[in-house]
Amino acid sequence: MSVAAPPMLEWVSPEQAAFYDTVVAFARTLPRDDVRSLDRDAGFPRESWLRCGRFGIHGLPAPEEYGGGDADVVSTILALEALGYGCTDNGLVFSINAHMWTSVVPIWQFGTDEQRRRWLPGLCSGELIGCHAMTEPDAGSDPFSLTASARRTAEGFVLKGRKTFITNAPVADLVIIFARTSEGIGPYGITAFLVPSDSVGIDVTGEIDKMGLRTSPMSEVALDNCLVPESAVLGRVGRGGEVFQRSMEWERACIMASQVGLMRRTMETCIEYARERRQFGQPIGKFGAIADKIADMRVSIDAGRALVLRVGRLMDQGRDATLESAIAKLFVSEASVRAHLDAVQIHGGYGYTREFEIERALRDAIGGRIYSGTSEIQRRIIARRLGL
Amino acid sequence: MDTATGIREYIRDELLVADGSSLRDDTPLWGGVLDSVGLMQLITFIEERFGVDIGDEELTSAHFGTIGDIAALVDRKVAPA
Repeated sequence: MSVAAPPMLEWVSPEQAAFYDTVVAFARTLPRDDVRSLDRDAGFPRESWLRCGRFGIHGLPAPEEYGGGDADVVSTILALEALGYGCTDNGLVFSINAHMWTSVVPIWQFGTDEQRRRWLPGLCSGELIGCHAMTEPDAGSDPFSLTASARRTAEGFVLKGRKTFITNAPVADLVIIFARTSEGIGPYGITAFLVPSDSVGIDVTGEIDKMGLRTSPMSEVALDNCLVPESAVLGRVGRGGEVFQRSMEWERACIMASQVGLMRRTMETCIEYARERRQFGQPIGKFGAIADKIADMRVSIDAGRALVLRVGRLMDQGRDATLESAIAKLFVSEASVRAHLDAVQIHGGYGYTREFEIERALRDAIGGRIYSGTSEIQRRIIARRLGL
Repeated sequence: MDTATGIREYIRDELLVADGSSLRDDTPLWGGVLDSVGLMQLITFIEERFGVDIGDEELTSAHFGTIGDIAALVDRKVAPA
């Protein structure tokens, strides 16, 4: 008997459940031994990245004709939960998510046929790495207040500005830059541009030394009169806010699926430890204070999975999932931090050391309360839809 | 149904504004009634419902500040040339 029964997958088809198991089996073949040193040195696991690409993770929801897997949203969510469960490198899983939602999905959904043919095959295979650059030093939770500019000229657009907290930028081949092309109202007046990272005038500098998710590289991006052709516009001029919002909808559902997978792995680690570790003449799992924490983890996993799958179902039906993805993002990210704090506590002194994965998983989980919109922003989105 | 009424009903019924019944033609929308996601949903609705294409230069507070502003823009666009 395994230490914990696999979570029930009541709301998915047998094929989708089998796909989940296939991805778990693949994810467990990824290297585990070097994750600690990569985390310490903030290294990027390029070989594992390429293996995930060859397996088909990066392009899962994209059309087959562009190298994708043609998967529905629910199947994609299940794959990312399975990856989060089976792969111990949470930074790699985070980078893959960022790549998919900020590059693969927007180019597939907003790109011209020429843009799709140029970028999607490489992005789906993992040969190319993508990211988007939205956040600025003074535009974080209020992203549409960005000040990076794109001035139209006879040759195209000239981009100027500074971006920060850009996941994957240090290893990216493609950066989707969001810049203001007109005054606009709210999210309008902002345009998305497809910019190769080796373009003249784009400078990826200042790698950011993070608390967690350290194998997912992050840096600043400076734009100094970076000239891009008219053909670099992704979607419509002035409508970049719609591109960004689509990325967020996918990201909030799917990154949290990976967090559900991480919680499942942590719960199973805790169960195993609670059965083996004996104090006062019995396994510590026999103490209610320990067992209750693990029971709460199981509740969070099942509830979190239900919430992210609900988003997937809505998206597969072409329905708006803004409210539901905010609920899923808020619940799972907060539950994951609680679960990992409890996991450290269950492991006692060992949980506080770097020898066990728990300490790293806690640092990685904390990022979930910040990226893709903080917990405070998710509550604000929810409250607005309650008419508050 | 006139244009302004159609827009008001969409905001009230689909964007879940609790006090939608108090929405007037001159009630400021942006930042008070609608957030960025709500504004994007409203503009998608307007383009589909009224069959108009809203250009980048028109997506300003002058045209989308109130229901009255939006209705005036839409009516101008759908009016026969």
